[in-house]
Amino acid sequence: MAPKTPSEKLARFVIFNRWFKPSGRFNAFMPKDGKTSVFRISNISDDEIWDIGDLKVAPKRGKPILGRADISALYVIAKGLEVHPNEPPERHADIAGWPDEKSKQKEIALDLAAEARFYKK
Amino acid sequence: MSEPIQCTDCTSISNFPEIGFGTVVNGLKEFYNQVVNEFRNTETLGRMDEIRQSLNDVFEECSQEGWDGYDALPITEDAYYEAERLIKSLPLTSFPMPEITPGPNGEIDLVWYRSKRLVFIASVSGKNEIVYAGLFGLNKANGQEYFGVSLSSAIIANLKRLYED
Repeated sequence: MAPKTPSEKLARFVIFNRWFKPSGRFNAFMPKDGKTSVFRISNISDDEIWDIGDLKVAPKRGKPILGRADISALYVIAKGLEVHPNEPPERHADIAGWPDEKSKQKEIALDLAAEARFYKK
Repeated sequence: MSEPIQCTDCTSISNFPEIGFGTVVNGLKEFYNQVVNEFRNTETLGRMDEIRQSLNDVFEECSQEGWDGYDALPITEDAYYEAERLIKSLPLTSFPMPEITPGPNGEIDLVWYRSKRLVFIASVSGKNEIVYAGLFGLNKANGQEYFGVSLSSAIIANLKRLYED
């Protein structure tokens, strides 16, 4: 199932404080086992977005949400990646289609971090 | 009269050559390292202590699986020692010291950050290779280099590119 619109927004919830530093932000997007876990956040309020983090991410991870990085699905797709809805939980998706080479992954992650907007909780 | 010129192949004077053996060579090596360490500890280069501390902090903080709140692999001792070796291989005064950040696949990233689109990463994970990537305005670069005795000229070239203005 493709995203409803390419222009929809995605949020990567950040649980590790070093990934808020400008020099560390790219690591928030780096894939693990070929995927980066995100949530589709278009057409919901800011409070509802934070609720997703608090209720669906934090309990599973056993750590509080420190913030999030928002990015357009369009930009992710423009970098040659894919967005695959992967529910449950509701609104969960994976950024997939990463290249195998680590250096290319880091280059793309730098690009995504440069485009994303980071918000502290 | 001869004039000194910069050795473009000499990426760092802080690495004593590995050729030679015996007590005299060992003594010279020890003296050489002493001189280099004192040079590093000057006010101008005091950041070396900060980098070492940052590396220690990262290793301590990220040596358990899942340290990022997701499924990050732990930073290994091999990655730690390779990062230490990489830091020692850096040219002493040509570029600012990098920031240290852990990667979710167990690697240690050295990051030279000027702005969102002027940034260079050199990453190690204990496998005798440096994985690198950079954004230089509209231009980009990525690759990997064998990390043996000294730093590859490709890493130095990218750092020069980052700081060329």
